[in-house]
Amino acid sequence: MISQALAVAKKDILIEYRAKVALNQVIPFALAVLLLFGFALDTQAKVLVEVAPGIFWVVVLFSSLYLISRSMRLERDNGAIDGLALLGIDPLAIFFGKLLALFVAMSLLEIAVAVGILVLFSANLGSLALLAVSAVVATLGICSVGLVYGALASGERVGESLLPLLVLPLLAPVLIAATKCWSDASASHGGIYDPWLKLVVLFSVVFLVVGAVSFGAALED
Amino acid sequence: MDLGGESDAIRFESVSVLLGGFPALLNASLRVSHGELIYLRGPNGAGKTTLLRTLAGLTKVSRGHAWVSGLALPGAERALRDVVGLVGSKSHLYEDLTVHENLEFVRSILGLSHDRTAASQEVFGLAGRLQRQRVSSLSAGQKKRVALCALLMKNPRIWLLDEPHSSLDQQGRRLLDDILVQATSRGAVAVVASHESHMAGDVGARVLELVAGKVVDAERRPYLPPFNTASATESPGGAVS
Amino acid sequence: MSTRVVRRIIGLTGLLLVVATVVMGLFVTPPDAVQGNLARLLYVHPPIAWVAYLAYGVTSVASALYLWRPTRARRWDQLAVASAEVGVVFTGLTLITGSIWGRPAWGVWWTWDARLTTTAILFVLYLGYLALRRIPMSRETRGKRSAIAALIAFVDVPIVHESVVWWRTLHQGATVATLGTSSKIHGIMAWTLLLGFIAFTVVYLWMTMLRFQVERMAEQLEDQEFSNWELERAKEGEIRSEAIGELLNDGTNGRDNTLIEDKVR
Repeated sequence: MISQALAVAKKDILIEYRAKVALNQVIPFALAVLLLFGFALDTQAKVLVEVAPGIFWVVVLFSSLYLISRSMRLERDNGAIDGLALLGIDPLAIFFGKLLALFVAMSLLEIAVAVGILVLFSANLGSLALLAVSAVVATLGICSVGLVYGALASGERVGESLLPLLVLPLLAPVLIAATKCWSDASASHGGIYDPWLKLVVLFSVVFLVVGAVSFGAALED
Repeated sequence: MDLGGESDAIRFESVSVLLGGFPALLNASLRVSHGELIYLRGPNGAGKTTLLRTLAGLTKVSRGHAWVSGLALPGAERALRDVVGLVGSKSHLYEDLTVHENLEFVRSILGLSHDRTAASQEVFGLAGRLQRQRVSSLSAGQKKRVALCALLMKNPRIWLLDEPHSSLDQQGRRLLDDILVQATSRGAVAVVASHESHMAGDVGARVLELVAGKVVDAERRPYLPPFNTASATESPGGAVS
Repeated sequence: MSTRVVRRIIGLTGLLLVVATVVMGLFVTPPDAVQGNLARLLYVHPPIAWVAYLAYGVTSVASALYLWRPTRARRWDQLAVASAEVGVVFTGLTLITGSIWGRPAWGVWWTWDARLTTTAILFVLYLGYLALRRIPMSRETRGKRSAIAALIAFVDVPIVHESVVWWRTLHQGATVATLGTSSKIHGIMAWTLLLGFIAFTVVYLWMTMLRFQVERMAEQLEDQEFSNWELERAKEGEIRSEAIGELLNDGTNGRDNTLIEDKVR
């Protein structure tokens, strides 16, 4: 199972390496949105610093939708998902393989957006440990939810435009909690035991389990 | 006593498959023994593709019962996928990866040896420079060769081919026929949907005809297009359901 | 026949109970000491919100029963969609009546209160659920996928609620929670509130039964079409030469062609 999952992850990462959709399309998009936020909030330094954590996660969530759709579209093109089924892969291996590849792409995205916010908004990071842990855990949750709903809405063209409506409301808790984590971290009164981190962990653990359990059933016709 | 279809390689009893309410297969019955090579013909939309997808466990049997390689449908779709191989109208390939990377992925999932990949690539003329080409840059015929190469690597008990002759060149067709004849002589079953069933005699295949979601034994009811003369064949690239 | 009669009786009962609630709420009960006539929303808003949550509860249970193989049956999927649709309507009504109450009470249409926010997210979540059901898929696939979506929503709602409660308590105390109980509820008011709960629950029952029946009939119609297909598919493969000939003889096309030729000249 693990070797199959790694093979799927390797394949997805290789495809991203060749096609560079995350690098050439999604990350520039995220940076453009950051600039727009700067214009919208009138570059008032104080406001920007204050809302930086929220903007970070909003931009990451919206950009993640592209990465999630892309990840599922890879399997829909040329009926590749049928090919995977015919290779007899355990759906769990597909789930964790794609999760790993998506996680890598998301991490690149988050690093780019974080650097952008630091530079453009002059925000400060504070407790780096809390920030990193919350980001990693939140990203796992976001990717799990995204993959499951990507599978649920897959199969038809209309499904792709439905993904944001399905995923975004579900991600509300992770947006709230992860934003608070960063706020606490930048205020430097948050440690690794920040209560908001617990909520992020709860969310991600729940949806990793839910994702692992339901992904196979969602793919099956 | 009837063994419930477990002795046949493939057995369908009044199988209907509904696709969004439309019965792509309608009370289709079918028996295929081990080692048989079947040519499946029929007009556009007769249900050839659906029949193959059902045999592959990709589409669920809605009504009736079927047994493929001793596995009962509906129910055993997942187990069935281990013993079948399908090359359909869709290539199942990743366009952004090279020929070799696609086959390497198949190899690693199936846990095969590197030699097996290399040998299969040789057979289909996919070794050398071609293997470093991205699939997106290949011609339709070359993509079909890659898909068939993956099928040969898997070497399934049930070979399912949907219009394999379209887009293949003469050498490719002979190659495919050779593979199918050898595979079936070793006890495998091959079901080939093709408009070129006049070639069936060359490879000793039995011809089955699918009309309006039902299987008709072609020996008993010769296929004559109602309007055209028998010599006319349908276009090989014609759309299928 | 019998279910139809039962449904009508339930429908009529619901209607009578709602009328009774309106009469009691508007004319019999006294205005509230603090909020005046505004408090009369008390007889409508909480019962509607209760029905919304009840409906989603039913959808979740039905979805779980559909997903679990031993109990998988079409009726659970049909019940899930019926209840979810009614739930979305009542969630919308909850948000609207809440806003109507909130505007005079707090001076704003909307406040980021935990319950309000959770309800809003619930509303959007189930709009997504209904949209997912509209994607063309086979009946079984749709049933399974939407059941998964419903259960995910069910798992998510407590987390949403918890996070929103936490999020708000950082800023201010609870607001709506005190609204209903801030004033003393008289005996007659309590009874009217109870009547409201019963009335809207009966209405929910009626609407869900009706929607369930519609879903069931739609599927039966599809099944009937299956037998019609047999006739229709038998005609496949005919080539209608006369019809083709007529189409080719049709003058319209020819006239158009000459027009184009004239233009070219």
